[in-house]
Amino acid sequence: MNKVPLLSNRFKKVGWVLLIVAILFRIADSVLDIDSEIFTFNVLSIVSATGLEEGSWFTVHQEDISYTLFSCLFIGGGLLIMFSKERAEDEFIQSLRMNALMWSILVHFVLLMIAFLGVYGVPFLGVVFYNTYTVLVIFILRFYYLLYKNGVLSSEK
Amino acid sequence: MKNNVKIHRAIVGYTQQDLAKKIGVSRQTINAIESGKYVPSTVLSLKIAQVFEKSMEDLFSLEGTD
Repeated sequence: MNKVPLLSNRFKKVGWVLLIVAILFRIADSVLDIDSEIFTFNVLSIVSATGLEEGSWFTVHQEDISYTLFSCLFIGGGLLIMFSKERAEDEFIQSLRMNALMWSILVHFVLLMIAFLGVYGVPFLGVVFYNTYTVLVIFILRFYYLLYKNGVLSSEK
Repeated sequence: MKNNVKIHRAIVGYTQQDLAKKIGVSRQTINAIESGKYVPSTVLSLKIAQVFEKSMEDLFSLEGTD
């Protein structure tokens, strides 16, 4: 059987560490209201624009990278969790993986459609912000629920 | 698809873990197959049949809904 290429199980732990660090960083950033200057650095942007002006390509300028940092940690961690093998990866677990993937895609687009139908103007930026992570979050929740339900998690401990 | 893997496993006296080890899957996979929650691939079905020295038809059969 052709198996989906996945990373070694070791990367799963790294993924969880990155994801937890990202969440803690985000909480700390919003609760402690950390001065944005701490996270302001020179960055190379592929394209950037302020307001409605035409974007400029490949420029170096100062930006607050706290959101970039959170996103990269969160997405990187989420992807490592999503694409690392379980300890006993076999075709049954791959079927659970497929189920979780289908769920995450479905929930992602249903939520996006609801948002398109009911959210207009500036609040839509919030939808763009949160919906970016839906696939990863729903996949992880659904996949781990299925592993737990089928006793795979308890056997790994 | 129905299967009587559990019966054949009992006949030869294997635990779920024994069978899982012989065909290279987890015990939970055997459990899911036996309880009808998971339909194994052709490769895995053939491996199970090989362990019990039976034909596929002895172990697996179609249901009305298939």
